[in-house]
Amino acid sequence: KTWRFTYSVFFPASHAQAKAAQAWANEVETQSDGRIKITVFPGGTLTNAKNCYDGVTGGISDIGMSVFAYNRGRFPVMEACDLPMGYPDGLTASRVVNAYHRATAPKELEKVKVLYLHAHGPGLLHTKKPVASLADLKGMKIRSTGLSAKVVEALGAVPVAMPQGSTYEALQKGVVEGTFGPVEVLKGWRQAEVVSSTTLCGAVGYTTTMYVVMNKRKWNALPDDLKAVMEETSTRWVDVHGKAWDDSDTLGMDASLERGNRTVPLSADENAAWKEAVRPVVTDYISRASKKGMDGAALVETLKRLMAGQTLASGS
Amino acid sequence: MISPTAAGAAGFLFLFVLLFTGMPVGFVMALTGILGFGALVSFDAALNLAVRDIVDIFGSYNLTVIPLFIFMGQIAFHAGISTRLFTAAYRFMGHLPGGMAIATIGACAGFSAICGSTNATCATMASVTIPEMKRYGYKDSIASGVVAAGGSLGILVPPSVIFILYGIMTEQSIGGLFMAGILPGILLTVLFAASIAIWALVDPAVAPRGPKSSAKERIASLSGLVETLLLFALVMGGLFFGLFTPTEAGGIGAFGTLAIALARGTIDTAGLVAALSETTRISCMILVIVAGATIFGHFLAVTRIPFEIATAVVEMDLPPYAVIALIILVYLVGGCFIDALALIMLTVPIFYPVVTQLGFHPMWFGVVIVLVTQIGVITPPVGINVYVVRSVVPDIPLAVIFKGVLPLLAALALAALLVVLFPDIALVLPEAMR
Amino acid sequence: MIRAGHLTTALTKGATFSSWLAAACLLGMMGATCLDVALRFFRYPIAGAYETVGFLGALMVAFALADTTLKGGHIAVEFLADKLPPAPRKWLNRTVTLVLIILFGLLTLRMGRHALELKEAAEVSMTLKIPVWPVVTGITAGMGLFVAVLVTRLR
Ligand code: NA
Ligand code: NA
Repeated sequence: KTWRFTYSVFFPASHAQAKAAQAWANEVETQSDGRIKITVFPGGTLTNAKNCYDGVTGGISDIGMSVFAYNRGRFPVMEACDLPMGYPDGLTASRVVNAYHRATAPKELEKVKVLYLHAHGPGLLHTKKPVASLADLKGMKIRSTGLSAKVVEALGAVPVAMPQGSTYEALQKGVVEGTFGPVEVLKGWRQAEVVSSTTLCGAVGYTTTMYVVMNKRKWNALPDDLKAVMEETSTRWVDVHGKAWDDSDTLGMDASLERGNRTVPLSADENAAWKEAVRPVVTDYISRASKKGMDGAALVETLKRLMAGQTLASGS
Repeated sequence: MISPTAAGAAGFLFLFVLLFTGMPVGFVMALTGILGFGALVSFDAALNLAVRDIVDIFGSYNLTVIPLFIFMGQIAFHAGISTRLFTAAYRFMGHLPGGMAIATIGACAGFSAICGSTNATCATMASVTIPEMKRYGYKDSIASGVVAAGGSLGILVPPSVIFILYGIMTEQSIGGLFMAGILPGILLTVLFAASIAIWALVDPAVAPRGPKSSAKERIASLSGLVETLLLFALVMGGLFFGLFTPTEAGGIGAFGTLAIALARGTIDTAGLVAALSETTRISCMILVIVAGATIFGHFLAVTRIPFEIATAVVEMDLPPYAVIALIILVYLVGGCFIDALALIMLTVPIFYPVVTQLGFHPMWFGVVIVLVTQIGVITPPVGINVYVVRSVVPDIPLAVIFKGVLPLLAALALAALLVVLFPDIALVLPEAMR
Repeated sequence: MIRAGHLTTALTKGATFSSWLAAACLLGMMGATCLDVALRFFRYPIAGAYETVGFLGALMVAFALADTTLKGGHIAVEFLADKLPPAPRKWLNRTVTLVLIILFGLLTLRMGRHALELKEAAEVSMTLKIPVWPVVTGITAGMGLFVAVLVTRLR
């Protein structure tokens, strides 16, 4: 018997993450000797980023890759991963979020089979005018949504929320003076054309956690050996995505520098000041989580511990 | 189990038959999409899909430009702003063959510089210009056809949602694509005007020519332009100085128009009520169609028909220009049934690498896609712009609008042909910019 | 028959009221956009105004559904159906309406369930953290009224 699955991915087909998803699907097919066949629908052609999770539980697609943050409030435990923890790179972030998911085994994901997670490299500040200090940043209008809007606010800038797709024009026309996002957006969303500088504020680098989940009924129906194939491939693909994120960041930075854009490092003092400034974002998460009856402090501790372990292990 | 391709073919047939029962177009597409998706996946999943699509489309921030710009147009109409504008246009162009329709095309091109969507451009211009053209004795066919076609300039003249999407999918400079759209936009505007003039010369009854106005009359009419110029300055200035985004321009434009109308006392309560109620009604009709098209598009995606066709074209191993011709054909036929954005998402990933491999310029291909998409939004059976015009002026039958579109369709086809034969029309500006 | 007449009157009133709500949403969309742009000029924007505008847009369309339908509403390809003699045309219209009642009845129920699921899951908008379920409930109400209007069309 051949098991056929549909896989909804919101990244456009040309995006490295969509290519990694396709490669995962091919690998699963190979490893299962063709007993599993997965059809990937990239570019949100089956379900868009916001509807992906419901799409998997509601049977629209069998597997789905999207972003936890697009359904805010639904994944309160996983939300911690998107805090400005200072992720050094996408590979580390991807490993940390998977370890965090294993360690916390959150109830909010009970309805699906989580195949694996991944996360982009540190979200940095890209601006039209160079920003080297909190003073430079004060009052600047920065495109950001969700948790990153909190970060922008904590840093003393003005968060302006808009869809990623509108950001290019908003930057071009000066409606916003900067954007917060992984370096990858400079190339992937063409934003290098409309900013001039990237502030290397990795100390407050946040990430956006993404999931690859499968319809639980479809998963349970699989024979054990095929489940093993999917799990084993998925485990290997955490690093594939993490590295792909880092490659995209490198390409994004190259594209930006090639256009004559520059990078602005933060001095040691500024670095400490930025870190201090975003602390309320983390405490706010803890208090909100506690209101929902979770131990927010413990969750953040877990995340920090796993991150320290990962950073050591990867030797960076 | 039914094969996806067979289900897709059956879906098209079903859609066609259902359209002729008189069931509203949006509902036809929704029903076909749900039944088709149900047959291929499950009905439970199909209902889930439809519900999410409805919430998404009704609440899409990018689509909110549609009601807001329509509101702007409705206020302009009920406050007499558009009448004064067209009086001035009549004084200057009324004696030319099809002069008022040419003025409308000019207005469409001007408005396209503010608005990035074809639906919104079309709806706004329809509510403003069709009643005016009819006042000067223009026939339903030319009045509605001109707006349906002229509205499509919204995606060719920058800003343009299609160029943004294409730029992100193919990693091309969006700024460059915007530049690439300018000359073809001007070319197409001129060709539209020419086709109107020819039409009016061949069949003078569709566009009665007025007397030539005296210089005095002309100067007197200029005062009618004040409000329009103020509004244009407000919106263009705000965009230029980065006070707001093109999506926000709809809200600002509506507010500005309302403020001018209230300040000058040219709109009364009845007019305001009419503008509000017309706007919600027209927006509702348009978004119902877009939602239906989205559901149907998701069904088509799961049949993988667009993908199969695209792959088949690629695998035929034809000479370069034959490949381009086939691709254009795919967009023309596809554009008859699927929403432009969905079609581009489904097919560009397959065509794009082939086209660039054959040595064609990526930006040129983007312009070609936009031009054929413009054709798609005005051709039957599913021509969104024609439905939009129909929702604004319910007393003009669909068949009349489709007929009125024909001469302008010829202009569009000619523009597309010229851009295919002379890629420099699209490329000269972006290359100069580099 | 009198009771059916009352029902129709009540529904017409309901649809009109609902269309007023739609108009209010439209003004709200315009107001929120302008306020946000003005405040942003002074660097105090409403952080996620666009979410509010999107929600109001969704409610506007849903609330306008019933009234739009009553006013002869949605765009259809009539020229073939119009050529039929009156009796078959009436039956064709009835059949089409019945199909739509079933379709949108099912969709309204599913929309209501979706609202409950969202409430259960406590989903909120990304930036302003506005609960999503009331919006979907509003859409459900608009669709429900629309289905009711369709039912009066069966006769
Ligand atoms: Na435009
Ligand atoms: Na068409």
